[in-house]
Amino acid sequence: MNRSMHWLAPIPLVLALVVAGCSSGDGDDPPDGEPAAQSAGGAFSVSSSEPEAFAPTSNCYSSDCAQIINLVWTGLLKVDPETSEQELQVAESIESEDGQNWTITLKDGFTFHNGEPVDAASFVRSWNHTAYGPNATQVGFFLANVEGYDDLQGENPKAEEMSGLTAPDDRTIEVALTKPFSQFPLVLSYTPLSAPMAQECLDDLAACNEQPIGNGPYEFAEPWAHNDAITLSKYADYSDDASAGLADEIEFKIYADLKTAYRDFQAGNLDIVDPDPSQTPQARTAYPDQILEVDRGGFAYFGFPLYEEEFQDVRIRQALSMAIDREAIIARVLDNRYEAATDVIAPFVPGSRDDACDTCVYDPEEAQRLFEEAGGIPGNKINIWFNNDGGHEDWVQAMAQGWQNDLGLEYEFKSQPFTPYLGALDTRSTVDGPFRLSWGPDYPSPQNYLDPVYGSGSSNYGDWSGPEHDQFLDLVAEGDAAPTVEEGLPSYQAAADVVLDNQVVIPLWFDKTFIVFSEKIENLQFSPTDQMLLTEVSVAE
Amino acid sequence: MGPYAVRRVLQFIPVLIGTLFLLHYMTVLSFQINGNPVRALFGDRQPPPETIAALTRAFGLDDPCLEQTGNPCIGMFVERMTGYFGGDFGVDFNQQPVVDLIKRAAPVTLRLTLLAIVFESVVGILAGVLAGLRKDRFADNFVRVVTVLAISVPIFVLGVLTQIVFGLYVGNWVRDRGAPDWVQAIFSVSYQSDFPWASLVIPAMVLGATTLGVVARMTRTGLIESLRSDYVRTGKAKGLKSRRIVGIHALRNCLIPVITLIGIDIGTLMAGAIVTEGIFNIPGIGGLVYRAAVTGETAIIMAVVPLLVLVYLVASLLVDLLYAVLDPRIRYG
Repeated sequence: MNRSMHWLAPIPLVLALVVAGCSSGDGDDPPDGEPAAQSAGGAFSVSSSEPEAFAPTSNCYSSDCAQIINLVWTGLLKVDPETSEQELQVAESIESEDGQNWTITLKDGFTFHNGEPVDAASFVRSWNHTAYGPNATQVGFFLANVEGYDDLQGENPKAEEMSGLTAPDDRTIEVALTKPFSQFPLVLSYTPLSAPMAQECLDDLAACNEQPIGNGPYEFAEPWAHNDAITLSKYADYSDDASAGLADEIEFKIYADLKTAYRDFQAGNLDIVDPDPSQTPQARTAYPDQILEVDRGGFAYFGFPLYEEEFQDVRIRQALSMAIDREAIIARVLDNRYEAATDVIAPFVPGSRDDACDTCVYDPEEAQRLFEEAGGIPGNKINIWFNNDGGHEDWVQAMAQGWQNDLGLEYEFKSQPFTPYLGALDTRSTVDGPFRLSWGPDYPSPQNYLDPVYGSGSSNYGDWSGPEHDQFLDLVAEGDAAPTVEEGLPSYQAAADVVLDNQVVIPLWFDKTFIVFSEKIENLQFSPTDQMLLTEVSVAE
Repeated sequence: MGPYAVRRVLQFIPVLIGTLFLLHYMTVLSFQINGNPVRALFGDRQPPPETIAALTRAFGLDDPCLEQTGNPCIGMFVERMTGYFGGDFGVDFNQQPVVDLIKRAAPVTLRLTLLAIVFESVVGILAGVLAGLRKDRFADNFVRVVTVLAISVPIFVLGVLTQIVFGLYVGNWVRDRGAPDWVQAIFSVSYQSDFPWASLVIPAMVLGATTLGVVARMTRTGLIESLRSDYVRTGKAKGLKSRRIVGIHALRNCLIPVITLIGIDIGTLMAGAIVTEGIFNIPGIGGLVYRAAVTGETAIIMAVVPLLVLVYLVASLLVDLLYAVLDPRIRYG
């Protein structure tokens, strides 16, 4: 009965197709030319999630859109991830006598991709649009300390332009702040916030979002293909050699699932990929020399509800911090993707120290001693709060078991999705135990790790208050008022010490990038606030 | 048949309005219980209240009734429906009009669904006929084993396995040998917009595998039963060719449940392709709904889900009308 073999018939057909295709591969080798300096030219592709928005750039408050905005727009300045020094870009100088009134002078020659000049008006236009309340931009609040910002808020604002923002001539911007703030230039280094806006873009924001008009080294080669790809090509009239890109073309391939992106990388369709955490071990073995692991700046910590009586004794808080074996959890549960915290300020930020936190070292005996000395926790049981949609279960479990082993403490998990979790934190009364949070930096300043996290109008969910808190606020204000970034550092470090001495939070770890790149990618660097520095990537033949 | 179809179409209206209201009430309740989803956009950073307020206004979520748990927010519902009739379906959290999102996602999902339906009905019915005609022989046993596998292996396992084996290993082998682009696109890890059909072939096979198994088994059982019936015996006695007996008489009768299954599957595939779309990075409706459900983007859920309900309704109407074609005893007055 050979007819029962008929189901096999399609297979030779497939093979035939494959064999027929064999001949068409070779033939288009690039011509052998002189190797260019830093090998400019070539193309490469990068994985991305669907970006949020491009126009106005101030609607972008996440890494995927920021990565692309950093290529399509050039901001006033950038901060070098290795030296932490400021590199001026469109700005020729950013100066202030008193830290409160700033004068920004612009370089000549920058143009938008449509030919419009990049002048002071293009920045003023952009920042006023960002700050205007009814526009509901996501990063507008970064400008809250500019004079006149308040007049632009609410449903029907009094004004459309901030009184503290003026352009006396084409190349000068003057900014008046409500109080001195030495870190203001660092705030401006966040390009989605400070990027200029072309008049044509403001006239039709919807069109500009699909085919952005920037002033950066790369422009959109074709409109944004949603959920599919974004192709950038070099902007021919880019005037600034220092920040120009090397590659001719950069393609962002958009993935809904990081696992698929990594498999596409394995199949040779992608050059730079950020794999799913579950793929980390496999990638470590398969591409040991093609991984970029550097500080990403994210700070993971557990906060304390300081309004609850059982957490008001500092020894209890210290005991809980010292009973966490950070190194072991990172190695066994977190695939070595993190670095144990030694400070509340991330390592890449100037002023960060590698020995600031004494209670971040695992010491079960001392933890037990402090815990008993303070009389323990009533009922010997705590509730541990975290959100259950961010992959935190495993390490929280490991941490809690450590507390159980070392302190004999019983625990219960109070986990819920992120939105209701944040709602519970916002009440500042519902949460009755240590709560998980993490902090990502907006600009590379120690101030950014202090004031927004523990300050008064911010993520101070534990309701830290009292004389130490006032001391902390004074020290931060002192740092803000310093004439330069460097001179503010000692005050910020002292402020960090107040946080650590009072164990306001349990510092856990800082996250690291895990970026895998193909063999043709050279000189891939990462900056926690600017994402990957793709203009500096060169493509090997 | 005409009046019947009109009556059925008219019945769509209350079903759709009911769906819309239920959805509206569920999203309102979710807001009231879980809190404002705008807040989660900022992650762990607590933005100033005026930023939250401005964004909440921009997304049309500033109605005071959203503060009162249990309040069905009738006013908001009426406002929404008025907008829908005017063609305004709102914007998502990235300020993109929901209509644009649907316009981009729907064609991809339609192609995927079409390929999956063709695959499962053609291959499924053929396999069922083959197995039914050769009951208990090799072909039958083979079909039975394969279909049990297709039905019982969860789709995410099948999807990932197929992706690794065909997309990665076979794909790399094919690429190394410089096969034509469209062949490479068939064996690719993810969807490629340059090859909108070829790169959907393997995902469609994964998507249609489960139903294919059921279709094959139903066809097989139905055919075996019909072949034993009186009219087949009569046909044989009259000397009809066996091709005509099987194709026209036996098969046509046993296809009614199979057609029902495939018809309902159109709706399931449109909405239920979430897993497959996720694995193969296909920018379709499933992924859109999934994202909206996770982030609480009411505007997307409110627009897409009624659309899926409509697809179900139309598909089941078409199935009912097809009954009359397949079975002469069924008439619609």
